Amino acid sequence: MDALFSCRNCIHNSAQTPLIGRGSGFCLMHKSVLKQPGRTTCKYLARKDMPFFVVDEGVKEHAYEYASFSTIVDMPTSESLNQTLYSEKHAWLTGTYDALTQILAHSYKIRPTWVFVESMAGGADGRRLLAHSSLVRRFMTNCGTWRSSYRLALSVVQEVSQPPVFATSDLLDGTTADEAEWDVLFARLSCIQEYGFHSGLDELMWATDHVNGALVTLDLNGARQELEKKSPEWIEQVIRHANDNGAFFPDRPQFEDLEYQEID
Amino acid sequence: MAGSTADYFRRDQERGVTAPDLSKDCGFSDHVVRARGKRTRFTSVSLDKTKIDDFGPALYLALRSAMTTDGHSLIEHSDLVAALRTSAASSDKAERVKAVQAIRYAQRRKEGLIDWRFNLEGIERRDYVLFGYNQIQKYFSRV
Repeated sequence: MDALFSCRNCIHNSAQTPLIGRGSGFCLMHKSVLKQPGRTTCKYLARKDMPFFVVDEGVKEHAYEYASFSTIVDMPTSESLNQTLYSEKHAWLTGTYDALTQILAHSYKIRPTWVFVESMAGGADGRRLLAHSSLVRRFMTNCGTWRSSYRLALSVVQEVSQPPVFATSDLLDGTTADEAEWDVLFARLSCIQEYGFHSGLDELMWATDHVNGALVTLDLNGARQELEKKSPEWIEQVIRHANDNGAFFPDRPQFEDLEYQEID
Repeated sequence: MAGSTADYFRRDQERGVTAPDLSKDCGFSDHVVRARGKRTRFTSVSLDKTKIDDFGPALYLALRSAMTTDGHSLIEHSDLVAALRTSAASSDKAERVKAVQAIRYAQRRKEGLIDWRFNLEGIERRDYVLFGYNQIQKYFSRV
Protein backbone atom coordinates (compact mmCIF):
# COMPACT_ATOMS: atom_id res chain seq x y z
CA MET A 1 0.00 0.00 0.00
CA ASP A 2 1.13 3.49 -0.63
CA ALA A 3 1.11 5.01 2.84
CA LEU A 4 0.82 8.52 1.41
CA PHE A 5 -2.66 7.66 0.13
CA SER A 6 -3.80 5.84 3.27
CA CYS A 7 -5.98 7.14 6.10
CA ARG A 8 -2.79 7.64 8.12
CA ASN A 9 -1.85 10.54 5.86
CA CYS A 10 -5.31 12.14 5.78
CA ILE A 11 -6.34 15.24 7.73
CA HIS A 12 -9.75 13.65 8.46
CA ASN A 13 -7.84 11.10 10.61
CA SER A 14 -6.22 13.93 12.49
CA ALA A 15 -3.90 12.35 15.04
CA GLN A 16 -1.92 9.81 13.01
CA THR A 17 0.70 9.77 10.26
CA PRO A 18 2.51 6.86 8.58
CA LEU A 19 4.96 7.11 11.52
CA ILE A 20 2.82 8.34 14.41
CA GLY A 21 -0.09 6.81 16.32
CA ARG A 22 -0.35 3.09 16.95
CA GLY A 23 -3.55 1.12 16.61
CA SER A 24 -6.89 2.44 15.47
CA GLY A 25 -7.52 5.92 14.16
CA PHE A 26 -10.76 7.84 13.82
CA CYS A 27 -12.13 9.37 10.63
CA LEU A 28 -14.04 12.62 11.14
CA MET A 29 -15.39 12.46 7.59
CA HIS A 30 -16.97 9.00 7.87
CA LYS A 31 -17.37 9.18 11.67
CA SER A 32 -15.82 5.75 11.87
CA VAL A 33 -13.08 3.99 13.77
CA LEU A 34 -10.22 3.08 11.42
CA LYS A 35 -9.06 -0.34 12.53
CA GLN A 36 -6.18 -0.54 10.06
CA PRO A 37 -5.52 3.05 9.02
CA GLY A 38 -2.35 2.13 7.14
CA ARG A 39 -4.26 0.06 4.59
CA THR A 40 -7.55 1.95 4.24
CA THR A 41 -8.47 5.00 2.23
CA CYS A 42 -11.43 6.74 0.56
CA LYS A 43 -12.17 9.23 -2.19
CA TYR A 44 -12.13 12.15 0.26
CA LEU A 45 -8.45 11.73 1.13
CA ALA A 46 -6.85 15.10 1.95
CA ARG A 47 -3.11 14.68 2.36
CA LYS A 48 -1.57 15.72 5.64
CA ASP A 49 2.08 15.82 4.56
CA MET A 50 1.83 18.50 1.87
CA PRO A 51 -0.35 21.51 1.03
CA PHE A 52 -3.20 20.48 -1.26
CA PHE A 53 -2.32 22.92 -4.02
CA VAL A 54 0.91 21.10 -4.95
CA VAL A 55 -0.45 17.54 -4.90
CA ASP A 56 -3.91 18.12 -6.33
CA GLU A 57 -3.37 16.06 -9.49
CA GLY A 58 -2.42 12.94 -7.53
CA VAL A 59 -5.24 13.41 -5.04
CA LYS A 60 -7.81 13.86 -7.82
CA GLU A 61 -6.57 10.72 -9.55
CA HIS A 62 -6.92 8.87 -6.24
CA ALA A 63 -10.46 10.22 -5.81
CA TYR A 64 -11.46 8.94 -9.25
CA GLU A 65 -9.96 5.54 -8.43
CA TYR A 66 -12.28 5.22 -5.43
CA ALA A 67 -15.22 7.24 -6.78
CA SER A 68 -17.54 4.24 -6.97
CA PHE A 69 -17.27 3.63 -3.21
CA SER A 70 -19.34 5.60 -0.73
CA THR A 71 -17.43 4.12 2.20
CA ILE A 72 -13.95 3.62 3.54
CA VAL A 73 -12.11 1.07 1.39
CA ASP A 74 -9.49 -1.59 2.17
CA MET A 75 -6.79 -0.79 -0.39
CA PRO A 76 -5.23 -4.25 -0.99
CA THR A 77 -8.59 -5.97 -1.54
CA SER A 78 -10.66 -2.98 -2.77
CA GLU A 79 -13.30 -4.13 -0.30
CA SER A 80 -15.87 -1.63 0.94
CA LEU A 81 -15.82 -1.37 4.75
CA ASN A 82 -18.78 -0.67 6.99
CA GLN A 83 -18.73 2.27 9.35
CA THR A 84 -17.45 1.25 12.80
CA LEU A 85 -18.99 3.47 15.45
CA TYR A 86 -16.73 4.52 18.30
CA SER A 87 -17.47 2.84 21.63
CA GLU A 88 -15.77 4.02 24.79
CA LYS A 89 -16.91 0.84 26.52
CA HIS A 90 -15.31 -1.31 23.83
CA ALA A 91 -12.10 0.73 24.07
CA TRP A 92 -11.83 0.12 27.80
CA LEU A 93 -12.77 -3.56 27.57
CA THR A 94 -10.17 -4.20 24.87
CA GLY A 95 -7.42 -2.15 26.51
CA THR A 96 -7.34 0.22 23.54
CA TYR A 97 -8.67 3.38 25.19
CA ASP A 98 -6.87 6.48 23.96
CA ALA A 99 -7.86 9.90 25.29
CA LEU A 100 -7.11 11.74 22.04
CA THR A 101 -9.07 9.31 19.88
CA GLN A 102 -11.90 9.60 22.39
CA ILE A 103 -12.13 13.39 22.15
CA LEU A 104 -11.89 13.30 18.36
CA ALA A 105 -14.67 10.70 18.20
CA HIS A 106 -16.84 12.88 20.43
CA SER A 107 -15.93 16.18 18.81
CA TYR A 108 -19.13 16.31 16.76
CA LYS A 109 -20.95 17.09 20.01
CA ILE A 110 -18.96 20.28 20.55
CA ARG A 111 -20.44 23.39 18.94
CA PRO A 112 -19.42 25.72 17.48
CA THR A 113 -16.72 23.67 15.82
CA TRP A 114 -14.04 26.35 16.05
CA VAL A 115 -14.20 26.16 19.85
CA PHE A 116 -13.21 22.50 19.65
CA VAL A 117 -10.47 23.27 17.10
CA GLU A 118 -8.88 25.97 19.24
CA SER A 119 -9.10 23.78 22.33
CA MET A 120 -6.54 21.50 20.70
CA ALA A 121 -3.89 24.25 20.56
CA GLY A 122 -1.11 24.55 23.09
CA GLY A 123 0.88 21.97 24.96
CA ALA A 124 3.69 19.82 23.69
CA ASP A 125 2.10 16.47 22.95
CA GLY A 126 3.08 15.56 19.39
CA ARG A 127 -0.13 13.75 18.48
CA ARG A 128 -2.25 16.58 19.82
CA LEU A 129 -0.25 19.17 17.87
CA LEU A 130 -0.63 17.05 14.76
CA ALA A 131 -4.38 16.85 15.34
CA HIS A 132 -4.55 20.62 15.86
CA SER A 133 -2.96 21.46 12.52
CA SER A 134 -5.16 18.89 10.74
CA LEU A 135 -8.33 20.27 12.33
CA VAL A 136 -7.43 23.83 11.35
CA ARG A 137 -6.97 22.64 7.76
CA ARG A 138 -10.33 20.85 7.80
CA PHE A 139 -11.98 24.01 9.09
CA MET A 140 -10.30 26.21 6.46
CA THR A 141 -11.10 23.82 3.63
CA ASN A 142 -14.72 23.53 4.65
CA CYS A 143 -15.23 27.26 5.08
CA GLY A 144 -13.22 27.99 1.92
CA THR A 145 -12.09 31.36 3.25
CA TRP A 146 -9.37 32.78 5.45
CA ARG A 147 -11.77 35.15 7.25
CA SER A 148 -13.14 32.56 9.65
CA SER A 149 -9.75 30.88 10.08
CA TYR A 150 -7.20 33.60 10.73
CA ARG A 151 -7.37 33.22 14.51
CA LEU A 152 -6.95 29.45 14.20
CA ALA A 153 -4.05 29.87 11.77
CA LEU A 154 -2.37 32.36 14.11
CA SER A 155 -2.15 29.75 16.83
CA VAL A 156 -0.47 27.30 14.45
CA VAL A 157 2.02 29.98 13.35
CA GLN A 158 2.77 30.91 16.95
CA GLU A 159 3.55 27.29 17.89
CA VAL A 160 5.29 26.18 14.69
CA SER A 161 8.81 26.15 16.14
CA GLN A 162 7.93 24.46 19.41
CA PRO A 163 9.25 20.89 19.48
CA PRO A 164 6.66 18.18 20.08
CA VAL A 165 7.06 15.48 22.69
CA PHE A 166 6.31 11.85 21.97
CA ALA A 167 5.92 8.84 24.21
CA THR A 168 7.51 5.68 22.82
CA SER A 169 4.02 4.23 22.57
CA ASP A 170 3.01 7.07 20.21
CA LEU A 171 5.39 5.94 17.50
CA LEU A 172 5.25 3.02 15.11
CA ASP A 173 8.00 0.42 15.47
CA GLY A 174 11.34 1.62 14.14
CA THR A 175 10.36 5.30 14.16
CA THR A 176 12.58 7.77 15.97
CA ALA A 177 11.29 10.87 17.74
CA ASP A 178 13.18 13.04 15.22
CA GLU A 179 11.44 11.37 12.27
CA ALA A 180 8.10 11.86 13.98
CA GLU A 181 8.92 15.51 14.63
CA TRP A 182 9.51 16.02 10.92
CA ASP A 183 6.02 14.64 10.25
CA VAL A 184 4.55 17.17 12.69
CA LEU A 185 6.66 20.00 11.31
CA PHE A 186 5.61 19.36 7.71
CA ALA A 187 1.96 19.03 8.79
CA ARG A 188 2.17 22.41 10.54
CA LEU A 189 3.95 24.04 7.60
CA SER A 190 1.33 22.60 5.22
CA CYS A 191 -1.37 24.16 7.40
CA ILE A 192 0.36 27.55 7.23
CA GLN A 193 0.84 27.16 3.47
CA GLU A 194 -2.85 26.41 2.96
CA TYR A 195 -3.72 29.50 4.99
CA GLY A 196 -1.37 31.39 2.69
CA PHE A 197 -3.29 29.99 -0.28
CA HIS A 198 -6.70 31.02 1.09
CA SER A 199 -5.54 34.47 2.20
CA GLY A 200 -3.28 35.16 -0.77
CA LEU A 201 -0.29 35.77 1.50
CA ASP A 202 2.57 34.73 -0.75
CA GLU A 203 5.23 34.30 1.93
CA LEU A 204 3.00 31.96 3.94
CA MET A 205 1.93 30.03 0.86
CA TRP A 206 5.56 29.24 0.17
CA ALA A 207 6.60 29.03 3.84
CA THR A 208 9.02 26.14 3.23
CA ASP A 209 11.19 28.57 1.25
CA HIS A 210 11.80 30.59 4.39
CA VAL A 211 13.47 27.98 6.57
CA ASN A 212 16.89 28.87 5.18
CA GLY A 213 17.76 25.48 3.74
CA ALA A 214 17.25 23.53 6.97
CA LEU A 215 14.59 21.39 5.27
CA VAL A 216 17.01 20.46 2.49
CA THR A 217 19.72 19.30 4.88
CA LEU A 218 17.18 17.82 7.31
CA ASP A 219 18.60 19.93 10.11
CA LEU A 220 15.90 19.79 12.76
CA ASN A 221 17.54 22.25 15.16
CA GLY A 222 18.22 24.65 12.32
CA ALA A 223 14.60 24.43 11.18
CA ARG A 224 13.35 25.14 14.70
CA GLN A 225 15.65 28.18 15.00
CA GLU A 226 14.62 29.59 11.63
CA LEU A 227 10.94 29.11 12.40
CA GLU A 228 11.36 30.76 15.77
CA LYS A 229 12.60 33.84 13.90
CA LYS A 230 9.91 33.68 11.23
CA SER A 231 6.97 33.07 13.54
CA PRO A 232 6.61 36.70 14.82
CA GLU A 233 7.00 38.02 11.25
CA TRP A 234 4.29 35.70 9.96
CA ILE A 235 1.99 36.60 12.86
CA GLU A 236 2.42 40.26 11.98
CA GLN A 237 1.63 39.52 8.32
CA VAL A 238 -1.55 37.62 9.19
CA ILE A 239 -2.75 40.36 11.53
CA ARG A 240 -1.91 43.17 9.10
CA HIS A 241 -3.70 41.38 6.26
CA ALA A 242 -6.76 40.68 8.42
CA ASN A 243 -6.75 44.29 9.62
CA ASP A 244 -6.43 45.68 6.10
CA ASN A 245 -9.44 43.63 5.06
CA GLY A 246 -11.56 44.61 8.05
CA ALA A 247 -11.61 41.10 9.45
CA PHE A 248 -9.38 41.44 12.53
CA PHE A 249 -11.79 41.39 15.46
CA PRO A 250 -14.30 43.76 13.86
CA ASP A 251 -16.46 45.78 16.26
CA ARG A 252 -19.68 44.17 15.10
CA PRO A 253 -20.30 41.32 15.08
CA GLN A 254 -17.72 39.83 17.39
CA PHE A 255 -16.09 36.74 15.97
CA GLU A 256 -16.64 34.88 19.20
CA ASP A 257 -20.39 35.46 18.96
CA LEU A 258 -20.73 33.99 15.50
CA GLU A 259 -21.88 30.48 14.80
CA TYR A 260 -19.71 29.45 11.88
CA GLN A 261 -20.63 26.82 9.41
CA GLU A 262 -19.96 23.44 10.89
CA ILE A 263 -17.29 21.36 9.27
CA ASP A 264 -18.70 17.93 9.93
CA MET B 1 27.86 7.22 -8.37
CA ALA B 2 29.36 5.55 -11.43
CA GLY B 3 30.35 1.92 -11.15
CA SER B 4 28.07 1.12 -8.21
CA THR B 5 26.82 -2.45 -8.07
CA ALA B 6 24.58 -2.09 -5.03
CA ASP B 7 21.43 -4.19 -5.09
CA TYR B 8 18.05 -2.47 -5.27
CA PHE B 9 14.80 -4.06 -4.14
CA ARG B 10 11.09 -3.50 -4.19
CA ARG B 11 8.09 -5.20 -2.65
CA ASP B 12 5.13 -5.62 -4.93
CA GLN B 13 2.33 -7.99 -5.87
CA GLU B 14 2.81 -11.77 -6.06
CA ARG B 15 1.82 -11.82 -9.72
CA GLY B 16 4.45 -9.29 -10.76
CA VAL B 17 5.85 -5.80 -10.44
CA THR B 18 3.32 -2.99 -10.89
CA ALA B 19 3.52 -1.33 -14.27
CA PRO B 20 4.82 2.20 -14.60
CA ASP B 21 2.58 4.68 -16.39
CA LEU B 22 4.82 5.47 -19.33
CA SER B 23 2.49 8.25 -20.44
CA LYS B 24 3.07 10.20 -17.25
CA ASP B 25 6.21 12.22 -17.71
CA CYS B 26 7.27 14.03 -14.54
CA GLY B 27 10.23 15.11 -12.45
CA PHE B 28 11.81 13.19 -9.60
CA SER B 29 10.07 15.25 -6.90
CA ASP B 30 6.63 14.65 -8.39
CA HIS B 31 7.28 10.92 -8.43
CA VAL B 32 8.75 10.62 -4.93
CA VAL B 33 5.97 12.57 -3.18
CA ARG B 34 3.29 11.08 -5.47
CA ALA B 35 2.16 14.55 -6.49
CA ARG B 36 0.92 13.25 -9.84
CA GLY B 37 -0.52 9.96 -8.61
CA LYS B 38 0.73 6.56 -7.61
CA ARG B 39 2.31 5.63 -10.93
CA THR B 40 4.55 7.58 -13.28
CA ARG B 41 7.14 6.64 -15.88
CA PHE B 42 9.56 5.83 -13.04
CA THR B 43 9.64 2.74 -10.82
CA SER B 44 10.81 3.15 -7.23
CA VAL B 45 13.36 0.71 -5.81
CA SER B 46 15.31 0.73 -2.54
CA LEU B 47 18.68 -0.22 -1.13
CA ASP B 48 16.72 -1.61 1.85
CA LYS B 49 14.48 -4.65 1.34
CA THR B 50 11.97 -3.40 3.88
CA LYS B 51 11.50 0.17 2.74
CA ILE B 52 9.41 0.06 -0.44
CA ASP B 53 6.23 -1.97 -0.16
CA ASP B 54 3.77 0.41 -1.78
CA PHE B 55 2.08 -2.17 -3.95
CA GLY B 56 2.41 -5.50 -2.13
CA PRO B 57 4.47 -7.89 0.02
CA ALA B 58 6.42 -9.99 -2.51
CA LEU B 59 10.14 -9.13 -2.62
CA TYR B 60 11.86 -8.49 -5.95
CA LEU B 61 15.46 -7.74 -6.85
CA ALA B 62 16.07 -5.26 -9.68
CA LEU B 63 18.34 -6.84 -12.30
CA ARG B 64 20.37 -3.75 -12.90
CA SER B 65 22.81 -5.08 -15.47
CA ALA B 66 19.98 -6.38 -17.68
CA MET B 67 18.09 -3.10 -17.55
CA THR B 68 21.11 -0.92 -18.19
CA THR B 69 22.22 -3.18 -21.05
CA ASP B 70 18.81 -2.60 -22.64
CA GLY B 71 19.13 1.17 -22.32
CA HIS B 72 17.14 1.83 -19.18
CA SER B 73 18.71 3.78 -16.41
CA LEU B 74 18.93 3.18 -12.69
CA ILE B 75 19.18 6.41 -10.76
CA GLU B 76 21.23 5.67 -7.68
CA HIS B 77 19.95 6.73 -4.29
CA SER B 78 22.74 9.27 -3.78
CA ASP B 79 22.20 10.72 -7.27
CA LEU B 80 18.46 10.97 -6.64
CA VAL B 81 18.98 12.84 -3.36
CA ALA B 82 21.50 15.15 -5.05
CA ALA B 83 19.02 15.87 -7.86
CA LEU B 84 16.25 16.56 -5.36
CA ARG B 85 18.53 19.00 -3.53
CA THR B 86 19.08 20.79 -6.82
CA SER B 87 15.29 20.90 -7.36
CA ALA B 88 14.89 22.40 -3.89
CA ALA B 89 16.79 25.41 -5.21
CA SER B 90 14.91 25.61 -8.53
CA SER B 91 13.09 28.71 -9.71
CA ASP B 92 9.68 27.03 -9.52
CA LYS B 93 8.02 27.52 -6.14
CA ALA B 94 5.81 24.43 -6.27
CA GLU B 95 8.80 22.34 -7.33
CA ARG B 96 10.73 23.56 -4.29
CA VAL B 97 7.88 22.65 -1.92
CA LYS B 98 7.72 19.14 -3.35
CA ALA B 99 11.49 18.71 -3.40
CA VAL B 100 12.04 19.42 0.30
CA GLN B 101 9.54 16.74 1.27
CA ALA B 102 10.86 14.39 -1.42
CA ILE B 103 14.39 14.61 0.04
CA ARG B 104 13.11 13.35 3.36
CA TYR B 105 11.05 10.56 1.80
CA ALA B 106 13.85 9.43 -0.52
CA GLN B 107 16.35 9.31 2.33
CA ARG B 108 14.01 7.44 4.64
CA ARG B 109 13.17 4.90 1.95
CA LYS B 110 16.78 4.70 0.67
CA GLU B 111 15.11 5.16 -2.66
CA GLY B 112 16.49 4.91 -6.16
CA LEU B 113 14.52 5.12 -9.40
CA ILE B 114 14.38 3.19 -12.62
CA ASP B 115 13.89 5.47 -15.59
CA TRP B 116 12.37 3.31 -18.34
CA ARG B 117 13.45 4.16 -21.88
CA PHE B 118 11.18 1.99 -24.01
CA ASN B 119 10.62 2.72 -27.66
CA LEU B 120 6.90 3.47 -27.69
CA GLU B 121 6.64 3.93 -31.42
CA GLY B 122 3.58 2.17 -32.75
CA ILE B 123 2.10 1.62 -29.28
CA GLU B 124 -1.29 3.22 -28.68
CA ARG B 125 -1.23 5.57 -25.69
CA ARG B 126 -4.04 3.65 -24.03
CA ASP B 127 -1.86 0.52 -24.17
CA TYR B 128 1.20 2.05 -22.48
CA VAL B 129 0.45 0.57 -19.06
CA LEU B 130 -0.11 -2.97 -20.36
CA PHE B 131 2.95 -2.67 -22.59
CA GLY B 132 5.00 -1.43 -19.66
CA TYR B 133 3.79 -4.24 -17.42
CA ASN B 134 4.73 -6.91 -19.94
CA GLN B 135 8.11 -5.36 -20.65
CA ILE B 136 9.44 -4.71 -17.16
CA GLN B 137 8.91 -8.12 -15.55
CA LYS B 138 12.12 -9.54 -17.03
CA TYR B 139 14.13 -6.91 -15.18
CA PHE B 140 13.11 -8.21 -11.75
CA SER B 141 13.67 -11.53 -10.06
CA ARG B 142 11.69 -12.83 -7.14
CA VAL B 143 13.81 -13.15 -3.99
